[in-house]
Amino acid sequence: MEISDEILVERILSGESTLFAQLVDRYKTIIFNVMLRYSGCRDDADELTQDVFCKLFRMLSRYKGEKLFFSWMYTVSLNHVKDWSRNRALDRKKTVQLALSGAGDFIPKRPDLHLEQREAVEGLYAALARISEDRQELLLLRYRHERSIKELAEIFELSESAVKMRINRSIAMLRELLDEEGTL
Amino acid sequence: MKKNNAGEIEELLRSTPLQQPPDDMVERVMSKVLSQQQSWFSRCWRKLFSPISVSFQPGYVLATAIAIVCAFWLGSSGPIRPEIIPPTVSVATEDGGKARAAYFIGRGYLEHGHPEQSLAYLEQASQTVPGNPEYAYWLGVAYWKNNDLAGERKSYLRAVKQATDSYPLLLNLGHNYLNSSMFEEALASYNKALSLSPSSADALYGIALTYKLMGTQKDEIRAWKNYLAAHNSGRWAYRAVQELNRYQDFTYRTYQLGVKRVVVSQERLLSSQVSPVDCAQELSEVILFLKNNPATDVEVIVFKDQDVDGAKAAAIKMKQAIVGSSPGDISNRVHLSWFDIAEPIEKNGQDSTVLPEGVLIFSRFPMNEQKEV
Repeated sequence: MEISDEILVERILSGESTLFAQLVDRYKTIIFNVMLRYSGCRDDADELTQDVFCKLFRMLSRYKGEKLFFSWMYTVSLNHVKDWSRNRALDRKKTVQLALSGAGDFIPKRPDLHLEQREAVEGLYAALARISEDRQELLLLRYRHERSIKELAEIFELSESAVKMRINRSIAMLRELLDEEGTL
Repeated sequence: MKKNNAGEIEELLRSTPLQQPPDDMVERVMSKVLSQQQSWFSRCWRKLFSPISVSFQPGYVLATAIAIVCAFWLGSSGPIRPEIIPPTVSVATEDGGKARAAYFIGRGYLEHGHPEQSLAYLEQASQTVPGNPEYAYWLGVAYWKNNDLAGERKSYLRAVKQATDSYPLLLNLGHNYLNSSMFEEALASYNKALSLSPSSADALYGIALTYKLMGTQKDEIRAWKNYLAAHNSGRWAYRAVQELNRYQDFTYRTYQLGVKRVVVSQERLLSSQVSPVDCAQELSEVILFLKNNPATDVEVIVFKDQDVDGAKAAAIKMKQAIVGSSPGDISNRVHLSWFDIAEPIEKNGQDSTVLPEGVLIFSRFPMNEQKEV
């Protein structure tokens, strides 16, 4: 059975530093993808991911269990990359589209079979890039990374009902944007 | 069946690709982390002098205390008599009632995003009343949500035996056959659905997509045109035009007007037989755009290889159709150009081709210039 994040943190803080590798392994994909969305470049995302995990390790003693570990970790990571991108003054819309439109593991074996789905996903990327950063993160965390409402509430400092409302509203916004397909 | 849009968007979000970090990410992070680690002395110091905090939840402590007190009190007051719990009353008293109840429960699970739980109930409803096409239809949907194409198909096939003219069943069956690469069967189902609803966007689009996957280009082109003849707006229409244009068929084209993209039958506009009414109908989106954007003008450019008179006549006919169908006098907002050369078309951003006849329509802000017409 997988050891919980909180227990891992406790053991790391009591001296078993090598256990931090388990946390890194557990969350490297999510963190890497956040970094990629903001940086738009795999090399930068790679470096940012390493920096964030090193930062998290240094800050571990500050984690008091007042939030779920994932919420705390994600908040630290998000703040880190937002500071970084602010300094870089990147065009956010462009980077989101660039980051999300990478081939990744989505290349279908028979392109024609998945034609509609691929085009639908590309349309979704374009629409996502047009909504606010926080809403993008909220939707991707909820649906792509399957995080709980509680975690989202802690990350975005909202009540759970406010999170649900914001998710519904963001979906409605995406729906409007997608229905305008063909708009710039 | 038309998918619920919110559900479709949620599925799309779930299927967005995740980029994988480099394979050695963990090793590199740990190498940095361990090299920054504090000395043994610092760790001991921190362990000895860091505060230890104990947390508890008052509610649980209180509940535990009450449980302990009750245990002592009950233990000292003699044996406990079991309560008599009356049996629950069954609400549904006939098979049909139970089937209906199971159906509603199954539908409820489905609506709330629990397709796995819905299956058992919908299966129960459908088995109890096998002749009910509604139960079989939703059972099929539940199988689809559980990614069980075979189960889905079986449900629909059972239902269509009883309800031979059910449009939703035939349409979903068509989608199922398409997803299962059973193309001939898909075409048969879609065509049957079309016979019940001749302008069905889902069926028309499904037929075109089926031909595309079959690789029968001529049939595919004809099917896309059939779709566009009935539906010339929305994202499926844009996609249909894209598919046609890929085959260098520019019967239909899309034009950007401001932030909106419109689909127009170029073939119809350039036909010398087209009536003013039909021309206006074809340009209805342009007319609407001009009405809704009073500060914007429209340019219409016609190309007809070695036929300057034909190009001019076509351009003027289009302007008359737009101006004649618009409120107020907007003749100074529609600008024409015409050329007796073929229209150059860029293909895939690299090669280019030419169209012997072509129309370009685009919007612009008015400029101070001498008007041509």
